[in-house]
Amino acid sequence: MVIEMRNVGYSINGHEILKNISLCLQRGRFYGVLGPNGAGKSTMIDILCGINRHYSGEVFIEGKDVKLTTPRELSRIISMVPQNFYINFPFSVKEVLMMGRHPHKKTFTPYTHKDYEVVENIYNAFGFEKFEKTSVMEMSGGEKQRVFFAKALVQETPIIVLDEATSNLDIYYTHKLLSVMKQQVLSAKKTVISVFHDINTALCYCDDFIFIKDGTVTATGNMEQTMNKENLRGLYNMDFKIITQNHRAVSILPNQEEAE
Amino acid sequence: MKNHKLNYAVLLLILALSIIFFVGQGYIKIPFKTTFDMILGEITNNSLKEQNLKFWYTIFEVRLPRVLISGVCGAGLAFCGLIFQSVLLNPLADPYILGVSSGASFGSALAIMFNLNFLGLFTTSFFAFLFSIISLVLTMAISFIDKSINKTSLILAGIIVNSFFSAGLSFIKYIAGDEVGTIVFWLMGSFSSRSWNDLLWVSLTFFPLLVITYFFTEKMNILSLGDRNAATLGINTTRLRVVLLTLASIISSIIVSRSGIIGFVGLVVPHICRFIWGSDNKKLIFYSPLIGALLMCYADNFIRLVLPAEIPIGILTSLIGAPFFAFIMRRKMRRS
Repeated sequence: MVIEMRNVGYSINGHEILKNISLCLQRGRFYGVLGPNGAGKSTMIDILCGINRHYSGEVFIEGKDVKLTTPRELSRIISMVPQNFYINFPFSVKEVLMMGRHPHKKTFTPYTHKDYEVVENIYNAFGFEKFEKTSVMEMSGGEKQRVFFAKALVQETPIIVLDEATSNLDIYYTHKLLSVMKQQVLSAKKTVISVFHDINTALCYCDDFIFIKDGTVTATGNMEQTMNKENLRGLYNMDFKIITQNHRAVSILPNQEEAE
Repeated sequence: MKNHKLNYAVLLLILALSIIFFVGQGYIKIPFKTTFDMILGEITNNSLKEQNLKFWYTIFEVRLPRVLISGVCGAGLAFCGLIFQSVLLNPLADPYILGVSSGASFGSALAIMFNLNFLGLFTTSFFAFLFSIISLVLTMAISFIDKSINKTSLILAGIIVNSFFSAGLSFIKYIAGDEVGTIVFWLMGSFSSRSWNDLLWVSLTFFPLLVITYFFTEKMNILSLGDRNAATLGINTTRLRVVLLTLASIISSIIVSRSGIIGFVGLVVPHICRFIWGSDNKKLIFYSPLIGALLMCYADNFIRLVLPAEIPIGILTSLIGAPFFAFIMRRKMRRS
């Protein structure tokens, strides 16, 4: 078990954002987190990544209690690709990727040969050579997002969290980068937890799904267990049409006939 | 431009040569060679004091302390500006953004108005330093919400503290009689008649803190990815902010208390350096102070040597700095 959440709750000013979330996530699987806006998905991500430490209940990552783990220790286990970026100084792509090695760097010592090698490999694999002279600040939203995907890989963590990380990407890069992540799950036995808004993209990659609404988990399990009309209606308050092929859901569309 | 160590050395050499040159200039002209020999003699404990007493006093009692302190203050302000900009992720931040300057102004005005002198000549400086630290603590306390400090609350808290002490300063100016002139002159900043003692205080604060900050530059870089990203890269953002801002504010407090308020150097120099050498704080932490020192040194000597009457340096830096900054701001806004 790579992640365990026990009765996790979080509230601001008496307003409950997460309540009683209990989950067990296994190594080497691709998890899709689905839910409407404001359901508490990002809050859950923040708690997993150790950004928000004011929650109630317990969270264990690789057997370690998150509240007792330093941010530095955690940053070697879990990395995140965010939805929005804020970078106000003209750093180059390579400089940003190098920051991904910071969790592995010892204080007072420079980066090692290995650090440069890891960055160089991923830099080339992502084809960032053409941005040699461009600062990350000047790049488009989608290009920046690719840089942050690369940064998460440079970090070499067993768990990668994608917080709506494909929201700015075109369909080519969405599938290209998610395939890279799927490859990490299959070959390197990494665990990926990704928040999606597009159910169909999620269907292509996820092994398991976690449905979140109003701060609680409404359904969890593999595709057969979760992807049915009742669960989806409960989640989004609308009707869906599920298109299957060989007993496997391949596409989920809004059911306009039933809505009328 | 790639070999940064060589660049530091070249800038340092230019700075040293400029200092020696400026020390020789003024009402009493001293040849470059003589100045160099006398300074070298003093460093190697082989004083040439007996050879030319007039020159010796001019160099060591009058000019050198002033030229050096202008350099160190310029370096310190540029360094603080860099820290504040990186830590607050705000390219418009300057060393005075957390209320340090208005606290210092208020403190010094208080000392001048009540003619306090229990610490002799240093009373005004002491009060300036005391109140700038008070304003810093106030700003931090106001912005500390839910066990963390974020950049927006810090900037807003800085504005609050700034306006509070500015009101206090205006009140003192309003009720003060003849001392108004002294207060106003102090506020505009000057390096005239500074002693070795002033230099010692500023240097003893600045240089050790510069070395300490060097070990945080990697983290400073990561902070510019935003709090959430920095946290997932293993950085305790609140702690890092408090540590760096405290270090920088102590430096700017001590500089303000010795030299008055000198605007725009801390704001503009980091921009110039970033423009030339990129955003890596590991390098900027050396470039910024070097360029700041050069700039301040030239500005102060321009006032001392070229202008017919000596004006407060704060006026000159703001006069040049403001249009320059307008240029940078417009250029930046157009691009994004």
